[in-house]
Amino acid sequence: MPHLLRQNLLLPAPPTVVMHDPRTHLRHLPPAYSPAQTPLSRDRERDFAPQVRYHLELPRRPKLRPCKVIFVGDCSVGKTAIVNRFCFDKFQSNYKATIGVDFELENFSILGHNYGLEMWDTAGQERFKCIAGAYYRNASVIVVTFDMTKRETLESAKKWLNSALNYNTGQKPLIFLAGTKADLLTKEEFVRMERVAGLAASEMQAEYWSVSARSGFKVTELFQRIAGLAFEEAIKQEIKYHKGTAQEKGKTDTSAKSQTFDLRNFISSRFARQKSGCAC
Amino acid sequence: MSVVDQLSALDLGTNGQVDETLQRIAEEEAKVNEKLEALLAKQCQIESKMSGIGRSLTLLHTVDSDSSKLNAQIVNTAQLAESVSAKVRRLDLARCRASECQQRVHDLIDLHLCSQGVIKAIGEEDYEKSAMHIARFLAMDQQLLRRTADDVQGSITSVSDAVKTLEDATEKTRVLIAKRFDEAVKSDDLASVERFFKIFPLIGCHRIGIEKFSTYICQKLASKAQKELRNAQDIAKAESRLQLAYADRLTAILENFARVVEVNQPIIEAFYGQASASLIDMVAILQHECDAEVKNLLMEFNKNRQIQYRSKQVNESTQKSAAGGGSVGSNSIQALGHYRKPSGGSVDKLNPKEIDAIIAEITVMHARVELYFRFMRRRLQVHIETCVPEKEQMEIMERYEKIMKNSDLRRQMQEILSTYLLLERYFMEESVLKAIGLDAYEPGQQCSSMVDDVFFILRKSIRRALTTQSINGTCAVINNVAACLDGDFVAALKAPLKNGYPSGYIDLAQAYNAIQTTLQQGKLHSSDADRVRGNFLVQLNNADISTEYIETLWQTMEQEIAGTFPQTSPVERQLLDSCLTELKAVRDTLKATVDFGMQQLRSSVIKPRLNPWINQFLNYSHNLNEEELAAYEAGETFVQFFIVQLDGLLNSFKSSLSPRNYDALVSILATEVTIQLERAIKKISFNRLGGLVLDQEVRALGSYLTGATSWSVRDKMTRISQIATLLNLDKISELSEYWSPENNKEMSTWHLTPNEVRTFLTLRSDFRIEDIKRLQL
Repeated sequence: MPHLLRQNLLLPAPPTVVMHDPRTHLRHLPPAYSPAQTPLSRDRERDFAPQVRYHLELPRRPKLRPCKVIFVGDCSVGKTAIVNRFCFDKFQSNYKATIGVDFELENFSILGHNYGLEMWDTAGQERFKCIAGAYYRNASVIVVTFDMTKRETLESAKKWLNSALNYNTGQKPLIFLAGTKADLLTKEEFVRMERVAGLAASEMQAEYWSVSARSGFKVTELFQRIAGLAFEEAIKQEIKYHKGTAQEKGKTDTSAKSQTFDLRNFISSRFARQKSGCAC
Repeated sequence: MSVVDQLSALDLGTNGQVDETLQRIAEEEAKVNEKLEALLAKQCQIESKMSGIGRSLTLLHTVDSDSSKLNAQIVNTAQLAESVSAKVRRLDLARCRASECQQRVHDLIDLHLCSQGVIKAIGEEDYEKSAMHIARFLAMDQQLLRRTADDVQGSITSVSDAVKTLEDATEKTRVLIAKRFDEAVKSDDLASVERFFKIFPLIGCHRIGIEKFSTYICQKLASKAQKELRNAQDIAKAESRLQLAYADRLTAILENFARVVEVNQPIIEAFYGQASASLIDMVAILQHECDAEVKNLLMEFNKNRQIQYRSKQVNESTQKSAAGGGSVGSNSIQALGHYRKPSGGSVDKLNPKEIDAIIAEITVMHARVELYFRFMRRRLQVHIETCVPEKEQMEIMERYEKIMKNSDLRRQMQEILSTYLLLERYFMEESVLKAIGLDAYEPGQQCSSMVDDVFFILRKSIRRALTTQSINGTCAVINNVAACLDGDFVAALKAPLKNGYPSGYIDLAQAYNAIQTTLQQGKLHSSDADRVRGNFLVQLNNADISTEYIETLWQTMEQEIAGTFPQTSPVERQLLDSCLTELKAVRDTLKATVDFGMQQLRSSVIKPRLNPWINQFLNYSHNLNEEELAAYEAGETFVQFFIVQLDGLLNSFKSSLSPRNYDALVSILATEVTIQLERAIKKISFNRLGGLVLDQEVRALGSYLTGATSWSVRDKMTRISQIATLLNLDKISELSEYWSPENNKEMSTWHLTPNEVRTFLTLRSDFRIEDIKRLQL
């Protein structure tokens, strides 16, 4: 009898649940921190662009290079802290200077596609400028970080962005401006700071975020947003590339046309030459 | 159930039933009787048992009383045993106290001996002996001694006197030893310094001893280092290592510190054994001194090698070139050797050769420091494994890591690494530009000197970065290499490719234009065009060879990195991998460059030349009768002419293109030929024999192109040969044999759609339209 009961209890088979980490598993484009303060998604709605979704439905899975995200900003503003908060969900209050660069890899799954986020956490101290600078190349995303409690770090954010952009002249990366240590501000200070930073962000053509590594405020959201936007950008690049190869065929045709055009030119010019020959 | 009830319950209606009932009753009666008799028979048995029980009852009473007696006895015994053991315990306690007492007595005796001995020893300046006495005294329990003094009322004076003497003596010895040590230091008497160094732990001054000794050694090393630094240049000159003068000095300094630790480790382990932090204390003090000395050295180094000035120059020139141009490639090649200042004057750039030696020196310095840290860590590891209790081991190692991380030396090395990266990048970029500028092509070779030179420089840079022993530095240099290849090098390759391939007057229009410009400018251009053409092919080959080289570079560097950093953490591994992937990404750019060049060739060479040849095809009628066919085959056929022309074209490239590029060219040519030929075929009509001729021609063409290259171009020919097959059909009905794949194994799948098949079939003038329309495809 008891075993029968047990069988009855077991009868509804346990549904096969695959545990997805909700942190790195995205089905929709995460929203911006504040819709007003983002230059990155003016033309898009609240979700991935339809052509991106369509492209992902195609049988050929796109081969995506991992996305390179670099963190720049003055020393001790909390670049390492937000990366550690997101990657390991931990926070250390004692300051330890980063040497050269730190590197973390986080794998996302976006719309069922694997997408790696390479986080290059660079050192802010002057003496590492040469080492850190060597890693700025080919970045897909630049996160400029400043300390919300220190105004001057916001002032130098622009300098950091420019030096990072100097190494990325080809493909224009996505730019984020992140204010850290939001938990240390009072309500009024916070509002005031956000207004100032928002202006700076629009000047830099960056998307603005206030975060706190200590409390974890908006850290995960920021990284999800980065991953989502970078992913969309990568797919768009690929769509463009396919269009480009399609156009290339068209272009060779047009070049053939220009060849015939040349011939026609030649004929007319030959007549001209004949005339001149007559004149001789 | 009573009988009456039974009776009433029974059905007594008939006689028979009454009889039956009676009989049953009788049977029951008999059964009852039987039972009763059986019971009666057992009566005596039961009675005998009952009496037995009665008898044993009395017995049981005695058992009960006996057992209670036994119980009382056991309790008694237990109590006895307890009292005995209590006595034993007390005895034990007493014995303990006795031995303690004995110890105290011993202590007291020793105390007296020590107090007497110490005074004598001090008087005789026998510090070892007095220190031994004091060590014995310090080993006693001071608290206990004081209490002993209180306890022994009678001779209180003698005990407390002795304690007092000894305490005084300890103080005195401590001061004395410290003084003597200082004196020895002053007189630079190494033997007595070591002698007193060994005494310190005996009088309980481990820390002071370590500190004093370390300061002494630091002092010695400092003066030595200063002297050596002053003579750094002279020493180097004597050893004819002027280039590495400061690296050698740094090595000497670090070696000195390492030697101190190595020599004194056994002494410390023997004499300071119980204080586990001794060695790390010493290392900390030494490290401090080491920082100071290295700082001096680096100051001298910076001054003599003009590091500041040079980095400023480098910074300025990179800023200038960054400000100077979006167009990196050609501009920077022109700017080789000197760059134009905004004011117009030109200033000599820093010669990369000049800083080559400095870069080498810096790498040696950095590597030495890494080695030094590794040596110290290993020493400490050995030390704590032998001398330190397990639970403190981690703590000490952590302390060392902290000392190391926070040391000035570490910080200075990071600064110098930064300088290194700056200079190395400058060196690399300038050298690469120079190699590009000095690019020379030797006839007979497929690529020019630039490729070999550039990759030699890049490999040298990465190798040098590896010798710094810094993962971060190596990765940074690899990134710089990738940036350099991606920027200057690819731009240099691409510049001539972008200008296109002068097609050499095959195309009449161009020939005409060229002649006209020649007439206008009054000079002959053909040699110029030849040069441009040669250059185009060379750069195309360069790009192709570079893809190979970059792969080799990437592979060898991966091996060398694995060799240089045998123990890397997973994060460092990922870091290195990611940087190497950057190199691989450059290979893709190079491949794209090759493709770009190939497209240029296709549009400026292949297409215009093919056009007139294919047009020839239209001049040959493919509506032939037998005689015409014979005549045609006897004369020069189209395909013979065509192959001769193609062969001429390919031969002009074969010697000057690298094998891979040549194969790519043939492949492009094959594609173009099939496309254009297909177009031409569509323009004319065929009869049976014409189809036969076409089929032969296509086959000949296919076998020629297949033979021209090692690549498979056969699949490119599939479509055209299928068209030829269609036009070579005897009857339309034959098509079904070819069409369905199961009928024909050797025929590959059709590259033509059913509609295209119909279109091509209509080209046969002898096939009827209705038949073609009727085809089931």
